[in-house]
Amino acid sequence: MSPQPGSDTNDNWERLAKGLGWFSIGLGLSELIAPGAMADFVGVRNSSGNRSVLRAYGMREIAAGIGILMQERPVGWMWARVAGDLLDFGSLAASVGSRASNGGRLAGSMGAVAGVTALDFYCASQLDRLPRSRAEQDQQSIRASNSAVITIDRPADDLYRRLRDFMRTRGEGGESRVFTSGVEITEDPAGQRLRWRARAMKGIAIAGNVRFDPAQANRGTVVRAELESPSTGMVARVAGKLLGIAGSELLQNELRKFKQLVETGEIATSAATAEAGVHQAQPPQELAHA
Amino acid sequence: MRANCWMGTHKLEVQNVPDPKIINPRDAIVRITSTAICGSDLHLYDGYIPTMESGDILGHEFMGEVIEVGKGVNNLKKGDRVVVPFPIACGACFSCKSGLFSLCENSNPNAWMAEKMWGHSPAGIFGYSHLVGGYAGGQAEYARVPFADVGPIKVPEELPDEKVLFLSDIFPTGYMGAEMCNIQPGDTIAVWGCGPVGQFAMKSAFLLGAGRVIGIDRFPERLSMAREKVGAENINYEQTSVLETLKEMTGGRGPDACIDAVGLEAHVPGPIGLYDKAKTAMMMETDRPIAVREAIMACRNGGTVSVIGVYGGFVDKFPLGSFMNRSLTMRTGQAHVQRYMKPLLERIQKGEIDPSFVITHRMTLDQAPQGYAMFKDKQDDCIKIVMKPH
Repeated sequence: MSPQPGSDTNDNWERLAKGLGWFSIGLGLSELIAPGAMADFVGVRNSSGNRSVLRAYGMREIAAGIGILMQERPVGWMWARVAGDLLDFGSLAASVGSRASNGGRLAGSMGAVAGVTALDFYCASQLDRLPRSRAEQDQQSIRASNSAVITIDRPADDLYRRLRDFMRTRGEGGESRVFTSGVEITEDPAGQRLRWRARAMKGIAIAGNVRFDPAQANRGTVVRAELESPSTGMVARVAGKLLGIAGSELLQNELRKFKQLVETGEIATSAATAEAGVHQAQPPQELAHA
Repeated sequence: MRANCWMGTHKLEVQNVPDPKIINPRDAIVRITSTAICGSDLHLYDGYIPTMESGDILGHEFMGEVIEVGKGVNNLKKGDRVVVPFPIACGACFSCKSGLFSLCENSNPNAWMAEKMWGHSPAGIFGYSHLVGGYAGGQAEYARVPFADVGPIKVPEELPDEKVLFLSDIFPTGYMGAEMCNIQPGDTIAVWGCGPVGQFAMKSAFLLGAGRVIGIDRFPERLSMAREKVGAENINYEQTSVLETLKEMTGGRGPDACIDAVGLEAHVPGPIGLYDKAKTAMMMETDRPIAVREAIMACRNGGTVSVIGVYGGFVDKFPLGSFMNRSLTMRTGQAHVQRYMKPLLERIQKGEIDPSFVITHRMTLDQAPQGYAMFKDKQDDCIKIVMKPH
């Protein structure tokens, strides 16, 4: 008994979503530009590390806000907001009990975030249930939030072999959260596809497939990687959606590293990114490898 | 080694930090002999650019002697004297092969950050925040230079540092600004901003065939450098209306092309300035677009607006109507330095230009904090500061 597209109920949910979109942008700008003031405001320690995290969250909020405002029915972006809210809540929760945080403010902030999360979740679920037009369905499948895509200047067969090896190497190296250690790869050379299964974190399995297609105008090969989310059960679907959003980001980063390796022979590394975690842009003290 | 580190808004410290090491096979380590402070460094100093970490080493205009190369570098060896371009470029991707080196697809390890902010990521840059890579900068005694087989250019011994240092950034930037104007012989070009980049843009406009060049600023020493060293005419925007004066100077049509060499921290007196300042303070606008607004309004119908001043985020009250209805062209970008270094070095060798004319102050690396303050406040007629770390 879902409402038809264009009815008042649809409009209300879309209006709510747009309002949340504007809220995202405003919040995001504050986090990005005044992270110290935000830290004080929400009750966490105003440290360099926390400010960096707040700035990153700010960028995420702005992106979600813009995504919501740009789409007619921003289902994927609303789920992105939910994922972000959970991340925010988790980050605040991690500061509980720390002497440097302001207990009263922190409790207040967590309450506020819980409230917004519920609102975002409800709005996202309602938008998700509305029937889709054919155009929207096509759009959703092309720009699915659980996929990553990159163009690399090499022929498809070459990339097929090298990506398979790359996944294994990343698995052995232990730094990837998508191609984790123990990654199982299924080859399908005739179908130009690679499938993989891995353990993401805390017992959550991650699986996906990669396709290789020629790029327009002889510009190389388009490598398209997609996470496969479980299709049964509301909880599994929601978890799959959220993992998909975070997962697609991680997947895109893996594809970027792969492209760098193939096109330049190296993975781009700076002083700040030579080691995991947040670092200053200064030469690291000692490198793990020579 | 000693290095100039960003510690917060208006806070710099020259600290002892670890020496850089080879990380990837195509790296080189350069012992820096000269390094400069850029106008865009002031945006970092003033806290306008997000994703800075306390302790980040600044600096993206530097040169020196190669002291070590990775096993993947075959065109440089220990002892070579090089100038290093500020964008980091691999030479092999779609962007690099198109000559768009500041858009390299493979050199920003934090591409995900830039993608969130700008839709897609440009190249990594030395010393310019984590958004564009978190690379340690060149206001230091040594620097690690990635893709050393693509970027750095060898320079002849007979040209002293001061004559070639600006191949790293500001000379190619000014030149690209002028080149983007598609100058026809005899054209009139107006340039907002008579800082070092503006000076090179004006000089390059003449080299590319402009008939008249008009420099716009409010500081007498910058206007007189434009007049005396470059041969440009002046408009002091604090004394006269820029739009009306340009109309009068160009027979009512406006300049054929306008170059914005000012960027996001534009200064303007009066109510419009207050509007932009209020909006940036309320975080509803991240940049102040005064110069580019004026450049658009002033430009003749069908002309070109060339934007080489640095912007980061979003602006308000942008005259898109004027832009569209009058068939203007806008061209912009961070300079694709790698494609200009060789031809501009040749011009220097032929004596067509001596880039050292913009230098007004010479300091040691340890004086960097004072240098930034002086450069920002334009004290002592400061226009360009060069520092020697050793």
